[in-house]
Amino acid sequence: MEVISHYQEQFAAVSQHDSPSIKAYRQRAWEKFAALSFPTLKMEDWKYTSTAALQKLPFSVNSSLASKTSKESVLSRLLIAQATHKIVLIDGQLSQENSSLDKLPKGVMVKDWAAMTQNEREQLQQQLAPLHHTDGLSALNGALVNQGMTLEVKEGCEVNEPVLLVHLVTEPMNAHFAVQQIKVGQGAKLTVVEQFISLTEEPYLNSTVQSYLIEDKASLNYIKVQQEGKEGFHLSYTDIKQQKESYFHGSYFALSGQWARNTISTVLTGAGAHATLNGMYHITQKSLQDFHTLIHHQVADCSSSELFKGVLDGAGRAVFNGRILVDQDAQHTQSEQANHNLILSDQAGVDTKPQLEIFADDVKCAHGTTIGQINEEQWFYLCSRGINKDLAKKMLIEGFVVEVAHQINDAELRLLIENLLRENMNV
Amino acid sequence: MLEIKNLQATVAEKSILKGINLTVNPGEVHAIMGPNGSGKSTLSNVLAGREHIDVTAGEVLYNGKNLLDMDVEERAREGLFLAFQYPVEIPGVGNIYLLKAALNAKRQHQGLPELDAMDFLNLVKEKVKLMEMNEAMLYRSVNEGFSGGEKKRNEILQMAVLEPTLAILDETDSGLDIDALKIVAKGVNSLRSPQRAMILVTHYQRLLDYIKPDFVHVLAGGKIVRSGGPELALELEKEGYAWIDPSAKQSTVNL
Repeated sequence: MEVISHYQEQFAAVSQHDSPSIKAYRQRAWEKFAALSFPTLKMEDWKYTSTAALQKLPFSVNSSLASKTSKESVLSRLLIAQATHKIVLIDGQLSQENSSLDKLPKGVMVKDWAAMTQNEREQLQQQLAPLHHTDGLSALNGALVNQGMTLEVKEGCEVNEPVLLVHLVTEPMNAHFAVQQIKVGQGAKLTVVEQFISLTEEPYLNSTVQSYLIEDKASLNYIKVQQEGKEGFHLSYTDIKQQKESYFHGSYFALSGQWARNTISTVLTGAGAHATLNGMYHITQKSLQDFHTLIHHQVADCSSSELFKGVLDGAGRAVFNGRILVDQDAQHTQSEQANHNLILSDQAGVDTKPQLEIFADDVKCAHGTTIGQINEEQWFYLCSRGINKDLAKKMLIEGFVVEVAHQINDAELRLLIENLLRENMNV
Repeated sequence: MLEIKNLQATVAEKSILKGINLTVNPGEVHAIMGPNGSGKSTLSNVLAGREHIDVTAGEVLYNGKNLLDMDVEERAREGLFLAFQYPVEIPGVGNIYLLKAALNAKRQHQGLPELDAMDFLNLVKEKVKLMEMNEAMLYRSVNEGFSGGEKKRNEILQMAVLEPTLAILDETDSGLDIDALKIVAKGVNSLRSPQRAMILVTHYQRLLDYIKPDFVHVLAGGKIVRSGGPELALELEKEGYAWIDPSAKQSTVNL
């Protein structure tokens, strides 16, 4: 395949300056990719998501972009322009002028790819190795990774204000293969808002492989806002490991882009841990949003909750595959999952699949899936108060999605995301 | 203000309204009473603009305009208000958001500027007090999880904010205990004015103890079979509908 040889050239270029062991790591990932290639519809996990469009575009991995983006143009796009803690990566490079890290508590360490030693990169790769061998596309990330960052919060450190982490793409036809690691030490607290934005309306690829470790009694509130350019591709793999009495609350908002796939998995490995995985996808035109999630209860006395809502418009498609796995030892698991979809157009569609695999006998697990249209009674009610049909419809769509934002713990972020969703429903 | 002339309508090809004639002038309060299935709700719904009802004959003039030609939202902006028999729950849409959107739609229609946030809030809070509601309800989703009484009060709250010219209250007393009924009636009475007309659609006389109508009409079999003053309601209370409803002739008449 032409595209394979294209990426082979990129691979050779990227690994040029690496140490032998990093080179070897890339080589193994490359071999994996060469063997597995792009996923096809014949694979169970990719049954509803075609990678054909991705294969047609020869994105280039360019690690030495000189960013000429003005500070104002960046600032105007930030979800929280005034954020105390800001990490802004422009085309994968840490932008000092747009970032603000000096107010972070002492127990927080941030390091971007460029600042890492070969040793540190090697360590990071080792930890991400299982994830890099998930499928062809994650392996491609392993072979071509040339950016990323680590964020570590030491034991007992509470970061009271959210850390805004921004990925800005400025150039068309570039591919960004990033790795990211977040560690929240024992009893520590962290809130991260990760935002993906673009200045180009042409195709590009954001590929990111992330691993989070949440240690005993630690808490991570995480919000992801995908505001990719309208031709942008977004591909992400996230593995979360939760220890005893840890807390994870993740909210994923897939608001734009041509094609996106999020694979999110959290493993509850210590008693008393809780995971919330929420999300919302809005598809328009011919876009695709795919969420594959796994919540894995390995031990007893953990709880999880999952709510994904979809607004399906235009001729777009969405995929939701929510797997809940409860091991035999995971007694007293409490888990609930819901996926609700609102279809606004005849041409739009969703493939939704709850997948519950429960091997323990003393558990409380519930799940539900719906696909529906605008409720005529509600619509009539609003119009009967003088509100015009379009606005009434918009209010109902907002009302439908805003439930996901309502669950965000931080009041300010909740309001911010609510407003963001309202704006997003305007288009 | 409102002239209904020989109004006939069908629902799912079944004839429900069979020639209604009714004139309502500004300042008047009319009660329309009747047994179940007499067409009361169909009449209020056809006035509010429900689409599943087919008007087969007759006309309705509202301030001289053909009401039946107007969209639902246009009717509302022209000052028509329907208090629903079953108010709809709308998860995720805040009560206050609905009030604001509705009031601004009406003001825009009247060529008035939007109310600024403070004025709007003050107005709404004043009406909330009138309805003896908790301000927290403003920030809850429309009717979601409200009790029956709270829902009906919320309807009248909307009415109080929107200040309609013609209000139609569809079975507003149903499902209310006596305390809630008194609060609802107080709200409605406070809105009585020489410029405003009201139509109370109800099965029972009970509501009329608290909201005194000027006229009472008895609807049966899709027609107004009798009209009179408030005393007609008392008569109905005493004698039931059997004497008036041709379809209920076999039932016992208690005299």
